[in-house]
Amino acid sequence: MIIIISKTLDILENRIGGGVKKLFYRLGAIYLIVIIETLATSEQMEQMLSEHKFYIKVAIDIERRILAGGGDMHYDCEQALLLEGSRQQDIWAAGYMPSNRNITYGSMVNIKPRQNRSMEILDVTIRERVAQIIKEFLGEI
Amino acid sequence: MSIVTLNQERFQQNDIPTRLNYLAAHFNQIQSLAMPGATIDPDIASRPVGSIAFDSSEQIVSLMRESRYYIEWIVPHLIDIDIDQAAELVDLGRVLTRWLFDWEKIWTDTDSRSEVAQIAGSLSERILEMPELLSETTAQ
Repeated sequence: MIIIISKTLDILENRIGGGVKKLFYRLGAIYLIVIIETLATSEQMEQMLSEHKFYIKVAIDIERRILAGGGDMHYDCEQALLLEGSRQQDIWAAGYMPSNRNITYGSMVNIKPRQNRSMEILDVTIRERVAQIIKEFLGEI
Repeated sequence: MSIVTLNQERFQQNDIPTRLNYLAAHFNQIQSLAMPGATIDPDIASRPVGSIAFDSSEQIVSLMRESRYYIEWIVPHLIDIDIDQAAELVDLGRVLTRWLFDWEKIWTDTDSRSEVAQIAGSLSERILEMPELLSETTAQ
């Protein structure tokens, strides 16, 4: 598990002390991304839900079977995977709602003119692989 | 999220060229503020946010994050008109994300800041060209 937290947040906390939470949301400078390769723990689920409360944005490397979840936008999850050595063409974004286990497949980062000409993942096989990894890593909590 | 939702409604009342102009203006501001030695915008610097004023670094972070939302609010409407331009905008969001992830390092390094300023300026010009390319696409 790797957690990436923006250093900007640390700077703000050091500088102004208490009451920082409202400020960093104002500035939007926090990233809490969890990267997992196996079933998420309850704590990891909470961390991934910290930004959107009932919904987790995820990016998945379907070849390496790694999931990055949490953060503000799919961009953040995608970037975390790229930093971990994933290839752009192997990364697909989705959304997951733990309460009803609903998976959505629409995201800007899925637009890849040579591979996928839509925000939705059009290739059924890729969608199934994404769904399988989400269910395996997030679905049992 | 309520502030974001309100901004989204207002932003999406504009046509795509206008939205692109707003995005270009953000990149232009990032360029100005990222220049080493850039002065703080007095209008923004005097505005209290919590207990402190914005400094240039924080203004840029705010602009970068808002720009990513602008992109998210343009792309779904652009994709059916010109998927290549939609993909290009998505890539701009990736550039912003890389900067956000590395911001502390970039901000404290003069060369990195200059590079960000230069790239942001080029991207602003590129975004300003998009409405024209868009009208060529729709005319075909």
